[in-house]
Amino acid sequence: MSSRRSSYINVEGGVENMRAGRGAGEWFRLINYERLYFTIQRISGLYMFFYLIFYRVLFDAFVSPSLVSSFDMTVPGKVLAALFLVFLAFHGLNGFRIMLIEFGIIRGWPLRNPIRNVPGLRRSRIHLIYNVLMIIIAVAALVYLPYLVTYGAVFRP
Amino acid sequence: MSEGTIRLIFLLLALYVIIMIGVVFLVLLPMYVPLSEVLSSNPITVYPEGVAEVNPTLKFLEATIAAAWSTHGILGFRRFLSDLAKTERGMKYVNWLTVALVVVIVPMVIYAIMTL
Amino acid sequence: MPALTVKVKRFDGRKSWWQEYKVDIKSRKISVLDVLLKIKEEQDPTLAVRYSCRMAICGSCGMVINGVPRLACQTLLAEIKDDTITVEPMWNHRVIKDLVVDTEPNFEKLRKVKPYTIRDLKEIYESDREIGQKPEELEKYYNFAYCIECGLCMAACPVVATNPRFLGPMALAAAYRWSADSRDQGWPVRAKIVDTDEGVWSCHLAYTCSAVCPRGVDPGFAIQLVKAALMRRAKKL
Repeated sequence: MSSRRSSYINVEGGVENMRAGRGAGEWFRLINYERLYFTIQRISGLYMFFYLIFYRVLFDAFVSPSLVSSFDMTVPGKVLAALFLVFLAFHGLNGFRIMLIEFGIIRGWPLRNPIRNVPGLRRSRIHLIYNVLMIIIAVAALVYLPYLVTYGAVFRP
Repeated sequence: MSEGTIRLIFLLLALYVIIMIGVVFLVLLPMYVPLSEVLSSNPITVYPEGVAEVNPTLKFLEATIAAAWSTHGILGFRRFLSDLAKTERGMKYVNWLTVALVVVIVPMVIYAIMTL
Repeated sequence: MPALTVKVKRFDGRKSWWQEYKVDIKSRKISVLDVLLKIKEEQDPTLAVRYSCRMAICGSCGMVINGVPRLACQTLLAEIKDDTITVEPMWNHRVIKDLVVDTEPNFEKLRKVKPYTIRDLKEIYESDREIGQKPEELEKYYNFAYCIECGLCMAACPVVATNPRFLGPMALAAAYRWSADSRDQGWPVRAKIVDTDEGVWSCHLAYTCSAVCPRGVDPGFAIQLVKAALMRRAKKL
């Protein structure tokens, strides 16, 4: 963005030297726990987009179903599948939390305090309970879903 | 279309997918197969091929879930790309790419599910 | 008291480098700004630091201290348990010199959301009616009026880092503050401005803006309130 008031500032050298911050690297800087959720939401969304749509559905249907089936039986195939399921669980849980916040269902009110300010979301009981449940279910999914992918039976009804 | 409307569609699609996946695994499949078998099988083999094998008419439901899921994914990808678009022109390209992806991928995904 | 090591990221217009200073302090009940001014006074007068009120009212001394955007005047050494302090200019801003950054883009974004009461001028000029406000109407926006426009939220926001078009938490919180004011009638105008991908919809709820806000304004929450109002097609905030 150009700045009409700071046109008098003459700066030599490259943009890298001028700019404080890391661009897209800022997505991976962790300061608070919602930032961690944001980072994992982003990574999981991108991974699932490519794995599910391009590999699982389109590659399977239009290129080589047998190749997909045989790759799924290998260790890397199972790792990718397990990662997909774990990411799906987290992405869905966090996405539902975001939905509740954006629709205005979860809301607290901020508290300004000389010692420690408390943001509104942290004062919402529903948000706190949902966070706890989310972490419990995400940890359970992290353990159970890879177990299912590795040792679960092939579904043959 | 305003950005708020796009966001509403994005969230409703996600809600639809979450609810319907739950319905398929916990309500529809147990009508044909014991719930314990559903929950102890490799989920990748259960959905979508397993569901289609159990009852081919469920493919229509799976196709709607697949369409919703892929549209949600494409709109989410658009959200990711919009963070990287530095100019209005860049954003225009992102919007065109989104339309192209929806027009190409969603029918392919529906076709892929229906021909299981 | 052990000597304090202060690592400052310097920039002279051409290159940037980390410079280390050793400072003797008698007490940890002083602020990081006091330490920086001590360095300026005793060791290196070329160190550029922006400051004014020294009491977290003006918002001038925003910088990143030990990896968190903070006001230097408000950050006491007692809060930083370490004997090494790392100070760098605010992220997501163009550096002018050392710790001084260009905050003009923040104010340009703020101006875009019309941060003033929008009301029918005819009514104001032609009638003698006092425009009052009840305490409950004040409560709706009062918290968000505490913003001192320090820019720390803009420094902390991961979306501002990559998307220069994004208005940012500072402007969007101001949009809520002015729209939620019962004396204001400008919500339809501001709604069109913020209901875009440059407005509230680029916010991904990272919430770091609220975590770092020195005044407890909670700009992240203000953005979610605007989003909820837009989703519900509210006629008034």
